Amino acid sequence: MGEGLIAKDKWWEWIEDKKDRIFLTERAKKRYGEWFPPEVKMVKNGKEVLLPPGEEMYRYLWTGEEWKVEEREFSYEPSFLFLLPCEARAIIEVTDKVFLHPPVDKNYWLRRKSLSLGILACLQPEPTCFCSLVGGGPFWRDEEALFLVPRKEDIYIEGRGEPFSFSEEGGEKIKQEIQTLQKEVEKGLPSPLPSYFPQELYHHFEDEEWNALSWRCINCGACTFLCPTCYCFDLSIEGRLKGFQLRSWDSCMFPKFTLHASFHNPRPTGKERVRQRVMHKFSYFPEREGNFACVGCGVCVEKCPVNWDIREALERMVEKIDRLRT
Amino acid sequence: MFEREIRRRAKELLEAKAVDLVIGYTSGSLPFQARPILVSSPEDTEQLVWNHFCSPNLARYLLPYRESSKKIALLAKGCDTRAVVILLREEQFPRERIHIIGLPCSGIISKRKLEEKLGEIKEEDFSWEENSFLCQGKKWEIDSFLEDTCARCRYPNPPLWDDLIGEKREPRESSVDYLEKISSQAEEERWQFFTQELSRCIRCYACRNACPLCYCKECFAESDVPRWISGVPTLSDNLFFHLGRSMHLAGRCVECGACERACPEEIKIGLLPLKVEEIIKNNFSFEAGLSLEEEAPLLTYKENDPGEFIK
Repeated sequence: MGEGLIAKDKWWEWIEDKKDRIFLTERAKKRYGEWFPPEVKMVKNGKEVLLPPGEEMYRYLWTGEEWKVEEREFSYEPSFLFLLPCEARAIIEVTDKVFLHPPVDKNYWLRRKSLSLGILACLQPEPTCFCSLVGGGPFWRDEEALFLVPRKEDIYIEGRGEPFSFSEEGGEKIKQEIQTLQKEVEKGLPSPLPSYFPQELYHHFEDEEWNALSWRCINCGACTFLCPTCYCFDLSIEGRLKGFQLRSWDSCMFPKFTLHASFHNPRPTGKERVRQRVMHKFSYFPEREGNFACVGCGVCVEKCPVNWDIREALERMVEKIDRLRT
Repeated sequence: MFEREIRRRAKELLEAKAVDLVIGYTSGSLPFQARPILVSSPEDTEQLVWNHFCSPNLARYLLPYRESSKKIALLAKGCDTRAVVILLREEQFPRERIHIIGLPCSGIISKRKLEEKLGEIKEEDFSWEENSFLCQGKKWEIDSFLEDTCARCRYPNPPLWDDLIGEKREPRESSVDYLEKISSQAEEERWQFFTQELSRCIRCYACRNACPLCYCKECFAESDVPRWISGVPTLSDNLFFHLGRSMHLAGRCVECGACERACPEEIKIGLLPLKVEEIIKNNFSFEAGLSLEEEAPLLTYKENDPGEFIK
């Protein structure tokens, strides 16, 4: 692991040379916009790069005798994506696990392998943020990714295989400064949900609390579409004898998401759909993969048209679970 | 601002069992935000609030109770009440199951505009009046902080009510109508504006779901047979959806702007239905949701209709 300092006016020159394209997320831009030239490609989050709202999976054609299926050929330019720690976690701990654990999703894999991440430390958690509640933090990093912390005059950078080094005497002191800064930023952030939460939550599937928790939600897809971890999709066939299979975003908030061909709908009302969103992120996914499918970025809280706040739902369920445990 | 009066009346209604529940607003989990609340016990009426951030159109929350027999009291601004009138006219609800607590409204304030003009803001630094507020040691008129859709409001008073709390207001003499923005544009410029706005749409349907009058059981946008549009938010499908929605609302839209305020991408999506209503008004001298006797022009056939548009 290399680590070192780079001057703010030198850093862009250094990074620009490394990849063909550079992306920056909108939320990272709010804090670090001045580090990037205006022509940098803006994206909402990693999902926009890795899981576009619609993509062709394969083409097919009926020749009159047989079906011909043609796989799509892709290539992607090597790219860098600069993003906040929570947004990076959404990729590394959620969507990578979904699409790269066998069976590997080819489209995702092709995009992902050409994408390097640059994690920008978060120095100002917002009122909607709750990364620490779900196991992350404003200085969360990954050894496969670059990690950058701004300092007054320069930038502290960490990354595997990077040829940085501190001057002999300064290194330890700077690392200590970074640690102190981290502690300062983390001060007052909520403590993590209890480790028994995913399993216990499952036992509250039939809890009447879901009625009280769900009525306010208008079942639009703002939260799920803007969520960096929500990856659910729909597959549709576009064209009868000649066409392609389309993968497009879908949302568990929509009634059609679970509508059967028989017209039976196992999630007929908002209650079942809200419960599904919470259960998937906080029970099913962590039981399978070991971490929540929520990174606490707070985008869903900020963008909800009726202020449905997932933190309150979690708080309510923690209370319920704890009351039963004691 | 009449909050105490609202709580008192809601409590009275619940205690007398005149209604089963009250739909109103309560404080949000974030500053400068109020959100819907269902109150069914008299003591919970203390949670009701009424302020400049009571944005969602509460008539929307009546819809899940269509099939029930519950009697509901609804806190309703001018526009919310107009939506109730349409729901009643369209026989979605019997009049006797709704108790309207009408609230003359001075307009919803845009948090974004507050931040743009005042910088970083904290809730505790504000003291609110009906038409103004104190902040940073200065008195500000609310007019320039209103949501665009509220600044042009011509019906701040509920056209129908069982209780009216607060004083009736004169409509604001708005300096610039929000629609001027598109009315004054050349055709090409307007096309450019809308394509630019709608290419940002992610089709989360927040606009549709926040709308009290978009209550189709199956929206054409999600219909499989026939399939009008795909699930991918391409510009052409987005245009199709929003134009389709505006046409479905023609002569029904009550200009509340709830769609625009719900949009997570801050797209000026209210302009389309608002423009359609302007056309309806100019052609039929009709505005939706003002009276229970009104005849919806696009749902009415007259033999002597000049029908000039098909000649």
